[in-house]
Parts: sequence; C-alpha cells; structure tokens
Amino acid sequence: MIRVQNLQRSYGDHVAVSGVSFEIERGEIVGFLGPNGAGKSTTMRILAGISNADLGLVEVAGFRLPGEGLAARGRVGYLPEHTPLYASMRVDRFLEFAARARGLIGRRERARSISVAMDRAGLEGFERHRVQDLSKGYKQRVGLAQALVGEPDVLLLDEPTSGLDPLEGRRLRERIAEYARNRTVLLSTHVLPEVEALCHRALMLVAGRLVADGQVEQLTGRDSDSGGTPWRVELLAEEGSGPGPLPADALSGLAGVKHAEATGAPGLFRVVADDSARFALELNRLCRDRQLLLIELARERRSLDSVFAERAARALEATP
Amino acid sequence: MNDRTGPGFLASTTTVARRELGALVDSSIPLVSGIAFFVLLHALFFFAGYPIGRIQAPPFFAGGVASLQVVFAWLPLLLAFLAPALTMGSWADERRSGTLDLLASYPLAPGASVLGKWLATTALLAFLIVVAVVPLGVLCVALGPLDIAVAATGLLGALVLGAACAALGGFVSALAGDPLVAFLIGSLVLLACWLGGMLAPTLPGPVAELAFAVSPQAHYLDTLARGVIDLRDVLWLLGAMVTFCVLTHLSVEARRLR
Repeated sequence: MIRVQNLQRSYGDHVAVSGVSFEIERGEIVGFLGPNGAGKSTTMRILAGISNADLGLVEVAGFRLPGEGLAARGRVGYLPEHTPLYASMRVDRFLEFAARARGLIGRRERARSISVAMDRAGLEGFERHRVQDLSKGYKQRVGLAQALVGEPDVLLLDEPTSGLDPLEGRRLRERIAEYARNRTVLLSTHVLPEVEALCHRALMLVAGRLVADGQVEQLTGRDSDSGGTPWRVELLAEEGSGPGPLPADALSGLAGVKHAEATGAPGLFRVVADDSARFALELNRLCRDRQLLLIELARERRSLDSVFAERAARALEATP
Repeated sequence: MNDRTGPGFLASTTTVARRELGALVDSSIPLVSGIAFFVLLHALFFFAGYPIGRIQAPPFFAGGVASLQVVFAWLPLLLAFLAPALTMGSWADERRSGTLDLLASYPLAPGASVLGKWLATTALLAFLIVVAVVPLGVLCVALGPLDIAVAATGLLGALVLGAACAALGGFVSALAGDPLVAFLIGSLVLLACWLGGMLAPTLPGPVAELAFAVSPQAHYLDTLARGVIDLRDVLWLLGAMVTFCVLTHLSVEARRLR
C-alpha cells in the first residue's frame, strides 16, 4: 500500500530526509517515531501528496507520486500535525466539505460516509457544534473524522493524540485500531507506549535517516549490542547438591548462548541467546546434570522508550 | 478499495467556493466592511458628490440630476479597501491556521481551490455592490429620468472591476503570511492604481502612460462607468482577473512544494 525507496528531501542546505526506504502492507498499523525535526512530518506530507520528494520513489495505494498525486490523494486520509481545522465551521458542514472534496458527489453516499466517519470518530451528537467550541479531544476527533470520510485505504495520522489526556488518547487509539483492520495506517507519534499498544511495527527516523524498522515485539525483545534474545534466568541449587553458587561461565558455555552474566542477586543471571530453542534445551540439561532447580526463565523485554533513546543516540553520534 | 479519483474541476471549484462563502458569511469582516461601504457610498452620493479629478459631479441633493455617476466615480476608490478586506484571509488564513495542508491533501482538481476562492469573494463583493448601488438607482428612477442603459453598464462594469480587484487581493493574500498585511498591501496597490490615474496628467510622459494604463480611470471611469462599452477595457479587466488567478495558483503551489 505504501512503498518508499531512497526518499530524499531537503529545504535549502538542510537535509530533512535522506535515503529512507520502507514498505507498508494492507492491514498494518505502523508507528512512525523520531525526535522533533527528524523528518517524520516531511515524510508524511510527501506521502499525503502535499509536498514533493527531491529524489526517490514514492508509491501510495498503487499510485506513484507526484505524477499520480490526484489519484493517490483520493485514497488517502490525512490528519496533519497540530490538527488544523476550519474552526468557524459546524462539524457537519466541515465533514460535508471534506466529503465533497473527496469526490463524494451523491447525496446519499455522502450522508452515509459522513455518518460512518462521525460514528467511528465518536462525534455523534456534535453535528451542529462549531469546531472552535469543542474541547481539544473533540477537535482531534473531528480531525480524525475528516480523514476517515470516504473510507480511505491509507490513513496518515501525524501526532493524532498529541495534547490529549490519557483517557482521550486511549479512546482515539481504540478508534484507529478498529478502523485499521483492513487498511493501512501510518501513525507519527512521540508517545512510545502508544506505539507499543497500537502498532504492529515501528519505523524510527533520526536526523532524516531510518535507524530502525521492525516489529515492535522484535525491537523490544532484542539485545541492543548483540542482537540476540535476552533472558532472565533464576536457578537454585537443590539442597546438598553442589559445591556452591553457579558461575556465569557455566551458562555462557552453553550452546546457543552468546553471553551470560550474573546480576548480583544470588542465582540470578542475564543470558543473551542467539538460538533460544537450543539454549532452552542446554539449560535443561545443565539443571539435570548439576541438580539445579529452574525457578524462572523469562524473556527480557525492553521498553520501546529505551530502544528509541539508544538508537537515536547512536544515529546522532554517527551523524557527521 | 474505493475507486475514487476526486471530484472533477467543476465540482472541486463549487466545493471550495461553497466553503469559502460560508467562512466569509460566518466572519464579521464582510458585515463590518459591507456596512462601512454602504454608508460611505450613500453619504458620498447624497452629500459630497465627486469633487475631484477631471469628471466632477455634484452631490445628489445639490445637483438635482437623476444619475449614478457619483456612485460609479467613487466605486474604484472604495473597492480599493472593500476587495482586500474580503480577500485578505483567503490564503493567509489558511496558511496561518495550517488548513492549507488539509486543503492540499484533498483530491481537488488543480486550480480549483484558487478559482473557488476567487468566485466566492467575487460573489460576495458583487452582492455588496448590488445592495449598495441598486437602491440608489431605484431612487433615481423614482425621482427623475435615469438612463437605465448607462446605469446598468456602469453597474456591470463595477462588478467586473470588483472581480479583478478580488483576483488581485487573492494573489496578495497568497503571498502574505498574515491577513492584515494582505489587506494593507492589497489596499495600497489598488490605491496606487487609482492615484496613478488621478495624477497621470502631472507625471512625465512614459510614467504617465503606464500609470494611466493600469488605472481604473482608463478601463472603467472613462468608459464603462459612463455607459460606453469598449471591448478592450472588458478584455483588459478579464485579463487582469485571469493573470492574478494564475499567479495565485503558481504562488500557492510554489509555497506548498517548497
């Protein structure tokens, strides 16, 4: 649904986006992460057909940009950063405008589409309110509703929950998730837990470059240095079974293990395995041989926060 | 998957025009500037006449002539303020509030946004001109022998002149970052055109020619306002409309893609 290859965009001497490539399939909700000025909004604007790339291939819903921009825009729902809205308009008239602008000419088709969008965005009962009189949360809903009018195949949301209270943010996330079942959503955000809660996959952009692209599970479940899977292992020696505490070396010598270290707490280790299945078998054998009880074997998950901070720091260090 | 490619050019234009007209009606600017225009025009017609320039005319009550010459004589100057007041927010407001990105994200036909906005401001401007001028025409008809053909030509000419002023105002709004700046620049440019026509006789040769050529005196006051239809003037005004609409489109696109 979205294909980007070697995207490049500069503003004067400032390179906003450089060498960015990714693909997003139908049904995926992808989080677009990055610090301020990383190039997220620039990329979103290019995908929405508002701005042009200097170089690279951009394809949205099967249409190449900017050449087939009109056709692509007909299939994209876009909520720009800061949720700009026609404040003096009534909600229903604003959505009516959005529906007409999306080419919904038939009265019935338009009314149905507006009704569905309002329902999905949770705006029932607010039809006759002026946008400027609504709370921030409801304004965000209006922004989402205008993007949903016409049921676009691709939804581009630039920080849709920014400034919302946690409850309102959660509601909006639920609505996005509900809509995205059979469509493609690219969601730019600073709220990392939001990505963990909503997205299948995350793209991280730092200083205009893509520094990470992977399943959220994968990104948070990998050791930062080795790329292996980190495990937390707690072992207890059976009574009268051995000479004393198990050294970490005994674990690092196991097949499938890249690295093992004692954490300081008795019997508690951190193991990074590059072959988790093999490691589990070997650990089992070790326990049997040394008469150890396996108290805990748990995959260690890092927060997306720490993954993001680490990747961003590395990328910034590497940037000349 | 939906199979829409967006509305056609006409539907795109009317969609934008409807929204723009709605926004103008919702705002207090047309009401305030419309009332000021109405009151000023009527006050000048009844009490001041047109005491400046080559074509001088007495006020209605003093002259005792059933004619709208005073009205048409003042219109270019009043339009220099009224048209920019209506157009100042057309693009500057969109850019200031960020809705330009929203507008650009819809699959509207190229150029339809510019045309739609121009049509909306022109329609409102035409409405305000008609509302201000027609009652004076009716009064003249009631009190004396008004030359209807001359009055109708003057009114239609004023509408065309207003449309050209709206096109220029829209272009200035597309260039300016702020509606107030757009109003000031738009008014100054139109005022300069009006003054250029007034002062042309006192200016040196080529400058005088140029000042007169771009003035409302050359294309409205000396012809249409007096009931004379010169196709060259109509084409000149239509050309100004098209030129400024095209320049607006280029300016908006250039800023969007920048």
